[in-house]
Amino acid sequence: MGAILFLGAFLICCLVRDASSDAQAALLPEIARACSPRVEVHGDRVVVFDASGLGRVIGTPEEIGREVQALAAGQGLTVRVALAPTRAGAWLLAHAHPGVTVVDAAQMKKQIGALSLDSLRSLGTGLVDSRRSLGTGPVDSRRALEGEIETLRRWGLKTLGQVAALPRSGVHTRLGWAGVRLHQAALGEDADPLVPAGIAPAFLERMQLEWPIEGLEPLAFVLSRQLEALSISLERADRGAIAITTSLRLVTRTTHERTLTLPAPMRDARTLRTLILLDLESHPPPAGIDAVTVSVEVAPGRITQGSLLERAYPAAEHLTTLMARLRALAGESRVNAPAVLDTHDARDVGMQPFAVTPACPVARPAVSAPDAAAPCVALRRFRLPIAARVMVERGSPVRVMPATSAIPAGRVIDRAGPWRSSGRWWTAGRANWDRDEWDVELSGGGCYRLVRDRANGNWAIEGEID
Amino acid sequence: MASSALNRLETLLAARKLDGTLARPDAARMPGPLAPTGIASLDETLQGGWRRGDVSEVIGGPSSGRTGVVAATLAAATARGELVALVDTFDRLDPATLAGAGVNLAHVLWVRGPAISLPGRPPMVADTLHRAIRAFDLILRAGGFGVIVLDAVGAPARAFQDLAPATWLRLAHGLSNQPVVGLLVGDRPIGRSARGITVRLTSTRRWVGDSPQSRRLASLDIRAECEQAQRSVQTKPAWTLRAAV
Repeated sequence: MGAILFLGAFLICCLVRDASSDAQAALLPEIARACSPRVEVHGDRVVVFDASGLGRVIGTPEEIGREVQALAAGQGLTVRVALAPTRAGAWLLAHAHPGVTVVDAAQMKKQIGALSLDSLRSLGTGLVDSRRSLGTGPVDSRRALEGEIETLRRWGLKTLGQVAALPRSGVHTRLGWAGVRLHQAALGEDADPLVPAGIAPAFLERMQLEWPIEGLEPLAFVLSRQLEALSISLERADRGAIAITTSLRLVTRTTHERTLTLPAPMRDARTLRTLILLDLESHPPPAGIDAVTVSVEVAPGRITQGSLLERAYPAAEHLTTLMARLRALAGESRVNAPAVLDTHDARDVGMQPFAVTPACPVARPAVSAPDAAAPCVALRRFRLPIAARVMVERGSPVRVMPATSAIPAGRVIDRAGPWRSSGRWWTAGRANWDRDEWDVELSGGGCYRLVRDRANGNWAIEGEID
Repeated sequence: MASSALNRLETLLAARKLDGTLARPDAARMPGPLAPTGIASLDETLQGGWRRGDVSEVIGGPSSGRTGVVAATLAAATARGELVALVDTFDRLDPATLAGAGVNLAHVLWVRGPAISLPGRPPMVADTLHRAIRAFDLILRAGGFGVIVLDAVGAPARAFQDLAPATWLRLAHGLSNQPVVGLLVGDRPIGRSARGITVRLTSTRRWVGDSPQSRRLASLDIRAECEQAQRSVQTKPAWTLRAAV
């Protein structure tokens, strides 16, 4: 057969992966993208791409087909390749014939016409979107397609050529738009244009340094450049970073990697740089830095709208930066919102996340407003209880001598107690407790929570009533 | 001559925005919006509540009711839907107490300092206090909070003397013209702003119960003295902090 020339016409290539090469399924779209930027992906077995223009690079369509097949074989994939003027023609021929099939317009109609009705089943994998015509889901689409094929079979038709010979208006009358699409496929006509799939952009910036840097100050300049570029990319894609990973390749040939999870999508370069630097202040790299890589995981940009009726709350970027700065100052686990724990052990302290985002703005609490006429006495807890020597008469403390000068020793003017509590007797160490608590007023001034550990008889001041 | 020189001096101070220390009548300055304290008697004394944009103080001796006043202020603020922050210099906060006072804990940013035993080693206490002030400043600059409290109860006097003289002036300047209430809580006057209020508390404990088994602390009866730069000291009738049941 002589070389086939496609003059001024489209050349569509369809690749169908054989089931034997399932392990390399993810490579199929990459192979297509290596050949053309206009790629349509149909699951993990079929891709269609526009091969028009490859003639200048590779040569005739046969050479293109052989090159594509060789490219796939080099990646461990066994594929069927078909090149035709239309997508529907390439699709049907690739599913019907193994190896490389190259046809022009006339040959396409002839070869498609020779195919059996069963070839139409390959259209159910996505080429014919019956949902648009029937308004049903994918499973219903396949059932509808089977029904239509069965109807054509009952009419006595055996090949696609016989289907193509039917009058279109009659097919439309009897089978509707779904039948029209099958009729078009039998003629090798495209019902829809090829819609290229977008390539998921990777938001990553990498910089190889000419000489190693040490310290965060020079690193800040490097990060500024990278994050400015990332910020522009994110803005163009209308995306925000929800996690940012900083990989520092060190002179010791190791990698120091830190990942920050952000409470809300953000793309402000200065905020991201501040967060990275604050994190690296707490977790500095142990050696000089050779290369810096910053990558982000993205989410769609969020739209926020303020209200004239509600109080303004801090922006997520400001709050995240504030929390990072406070944690760098006070410690990772020392900054959050307090929480009341479900325990009888008064020593336990709970914290919960402090986050105010546009998704959960500050709302008026459901509880009623506190009683302004009768507020409550509060307890100030000493996390490190203050040891004390206590003189006891008739089972009650009468004099307290703390081990610190911050609380003056004194006689007990009045007292309440003991309240006895215990718990977690089945655990060892500090987790269990068995104690008596007293509220005492001392002659030196002040009311305190006095505690006696029944296990060892030691006294301690655990809090001030204020 | 003297009055013209005084006028020139006041004009010069106003031009450099240092006129906050001048003892002008209140009518010369529009009062900022007020944040109710949550205690009716104290609100009456303060003519509505804490003044936003100023640093005020709550001071007093042991068991004088300072923490109760702070808890009531935070409860009132969170009930209004505001975010509040508490810089707990020596990690003294009891979350159950705040919850019992009606504070919405999810809207409280709690910055916990190290739990050191006071009076402690001076360098450590000084560093802790310095970090607490730094945290207060960071929260203030971030904005979005209705009340910011710095709890420095128990800090020795020497720790405050070691601070830079302009520390409190800087904080007051940063707070001015912002819809935020700054509260300092301590044993003695710390550094309220020129237009802030110092509330000095004293208390009497009321015990009830005749038998040792039924004896308990029922309430703290609080008396307050309010000091302000442009006003004389006022003492109002007391209010009561009832003990939690």
